Amino acid sequence: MSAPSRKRTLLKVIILGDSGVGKTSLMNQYVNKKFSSQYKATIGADFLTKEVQVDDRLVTMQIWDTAGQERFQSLGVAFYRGADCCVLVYDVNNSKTFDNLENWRDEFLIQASPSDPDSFPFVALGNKVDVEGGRTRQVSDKKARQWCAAKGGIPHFDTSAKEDLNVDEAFQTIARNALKNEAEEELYIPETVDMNAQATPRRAQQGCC
Amino acid sequence: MESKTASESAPSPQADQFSECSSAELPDVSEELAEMRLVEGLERQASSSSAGGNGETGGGGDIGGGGASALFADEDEEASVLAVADVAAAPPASPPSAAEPQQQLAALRSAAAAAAAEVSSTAAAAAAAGGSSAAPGGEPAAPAEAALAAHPRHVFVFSTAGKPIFCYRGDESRLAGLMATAKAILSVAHSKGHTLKHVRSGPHRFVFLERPPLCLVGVSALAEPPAVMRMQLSLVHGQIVSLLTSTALQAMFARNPGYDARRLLGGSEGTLRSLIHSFTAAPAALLGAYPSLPLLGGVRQALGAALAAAVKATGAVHGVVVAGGAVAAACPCPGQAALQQWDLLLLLNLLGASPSLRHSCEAMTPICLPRFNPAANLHAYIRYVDAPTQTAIVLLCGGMPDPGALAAAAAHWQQQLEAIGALHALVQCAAREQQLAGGGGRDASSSGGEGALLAVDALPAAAGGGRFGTTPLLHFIYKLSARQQYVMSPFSAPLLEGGLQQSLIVAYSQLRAAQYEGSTLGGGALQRLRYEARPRFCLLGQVNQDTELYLVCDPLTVAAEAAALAARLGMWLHARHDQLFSLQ
Repeated sequence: MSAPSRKRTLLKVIILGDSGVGKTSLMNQYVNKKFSSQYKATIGADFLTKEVQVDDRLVTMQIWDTAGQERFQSLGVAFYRGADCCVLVYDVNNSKTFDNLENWRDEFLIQASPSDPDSFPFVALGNKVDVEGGRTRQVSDKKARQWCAAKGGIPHFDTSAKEDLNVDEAFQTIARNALKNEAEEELYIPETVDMNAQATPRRAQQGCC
Repeated sequence: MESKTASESAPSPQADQFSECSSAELPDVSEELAEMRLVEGLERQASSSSAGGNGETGGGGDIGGGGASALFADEDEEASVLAVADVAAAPPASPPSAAEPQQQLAALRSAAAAAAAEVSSTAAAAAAAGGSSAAPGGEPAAPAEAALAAHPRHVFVFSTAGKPIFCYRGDESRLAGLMATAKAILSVAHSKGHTLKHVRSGPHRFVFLERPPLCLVGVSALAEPPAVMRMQLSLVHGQIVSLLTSTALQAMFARNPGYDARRLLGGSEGTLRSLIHSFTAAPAALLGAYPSLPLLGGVRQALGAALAAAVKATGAVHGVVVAGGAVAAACPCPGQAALQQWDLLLLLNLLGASPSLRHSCEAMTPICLPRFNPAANLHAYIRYVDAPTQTAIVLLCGGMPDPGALAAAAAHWQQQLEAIGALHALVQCAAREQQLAGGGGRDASSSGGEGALLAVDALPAAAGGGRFGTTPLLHFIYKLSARQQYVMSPFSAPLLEGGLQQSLIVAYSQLRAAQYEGSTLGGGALQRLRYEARPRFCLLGQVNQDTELYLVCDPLTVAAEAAALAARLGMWLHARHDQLFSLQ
């Protein structure tokens, strides 16, 4: 048996946003460096993993690319549970998709019920900034940043999956923020069977790093 | 690195066949099920499937959950039987592409699709399609995937959040995508109000066991019965609990559902791997019984009496004497029930997989015995009296143990037995037994002269014994049902040289599962006598009120001959229960 080595941290990242905003394209550009303009709806969820270096740490990102269509939302609880970071994606050329970020965020917080909702790391991505050279843009950078600031300072990026603009930077931030939020390693010291008082297991807990 | 481009790198001419099969098997392919597919179109995943078919596995006889409950009457398994749909799909035979892991992913995804289909279109759960963990042609650049592809069996464990915790072969973090997919498959079944138990795909079976906050998946291409595989997963779960306790597991995940349990299990992977390895090397899991060390004459009585005294003197809850990987004696403190076989198996595995315990001669370690009490640890005081044969006394205590008192009691136990020569006899028996467990052939003298008590060539001819070639009997297992103990003959050199050990264990599990198939919880075998002729050997199973006897004979043995042999051997064994088993 080899000596136990420190395990590479695994980060579960959920990508949410309306149908057609480019969630899968962003993930595909990030992981596979590929882009296809052909639209294929994601059904349920898709998974990719990527190993990245964040500062001096190697981490494995397990990216859950979910379907935007409402009919898949019933699976939310199962999908969102235990996520380390949530990526909210909208299309800068469609203000409706931006307005819906609020719902996606709320839905995520309800379903995933993280222990500290206020500090849970989100990252917002305004995708498709390349379209028509930006002439069709409906959501201004300022408007987006205002919303992000109001939600506790969510980092925001203008991205283009097609042109590979800001994709690496965005995911790097995602990984870094997820790591920052990493719960401190806690140890749990199990009880010993108490033969005199069979019931009432006491819990000894101890924080540690 | 995972990607979802499997289809591009592995074009398959059989894609159409796959679609045909799936629609044929799952007639009510509704619009909804198409929606429920976890990934893009079937065509894409179909690229990972090719020729293969249900023909081969369809007639294999699937053992449903109902059989499981009777097989493992002690196991609190759910008893419902699930429909299993076969969907033709096998890993690609020809192009060993660089997209190996992707193929597995895509394959499992298509399994998800079919699972969703079945769940939504019929009331039953489970379905199958796609891929395997043993697709041919591993990609050397990715050792984890290559390992996964190269082995016919696999086990992986992940949290309910879909985060990897453990895998049998390779690096679990490289399988993060696979585990997330498996988690999603389970979620789809849940969202329809069902529990997915197993999926069959070509030659592979995927068996699922959900024990929140953990999920376990077993994969086998050896045609192991799903009921047995679930039992194996249950033991793996038990071993994890034995290392962490269920309260610790629950507490960590309640605080943080995304908790990375690998931290807690760090360093214990060997213990789990050794347990999983044992599933195809020994029949304990398939029988639901622990190995008993055959002992001559009054040795066991002497061991037991001294052990009871040690338990009494130290206030221990249980005392166990292990030797050669088997139990020589076990004794609870007055008023306690005996330890269940599952707990003893976990203890035996922990001891066998921890060489550091042997080296230290005397050790204390916390261990949780899930059947005894999953919520808390016991302290195990372990004293090895003979390290090469792994002969040791184990005293299990609750509360705050007194190491001095335990050491004194163990030393006294040792002296007592040494004085009457019982310890010497025990170590001798263990040495023989170890050749049995460790795979005989390591010592040339072992197969000849002084073999194990139950070696076929050491048995009298009246009981079916004799040298290799003079008797049709090749191997046997004997279980005493009421005590949940078993003994077996060592795997003789010809069997080991023929690489038959794993085949025999799997064959035994199939035989036994077939005898119990369809029987209900707590019920006995429906088939008391079963004979199967196979190309390399034939098998006979004989289940009585209180014992089970399974034989492997040479392939020319006809049914009547095998049954007569079983009757003679059974009688001989029945007269020697006091030597074979702990009957206290």
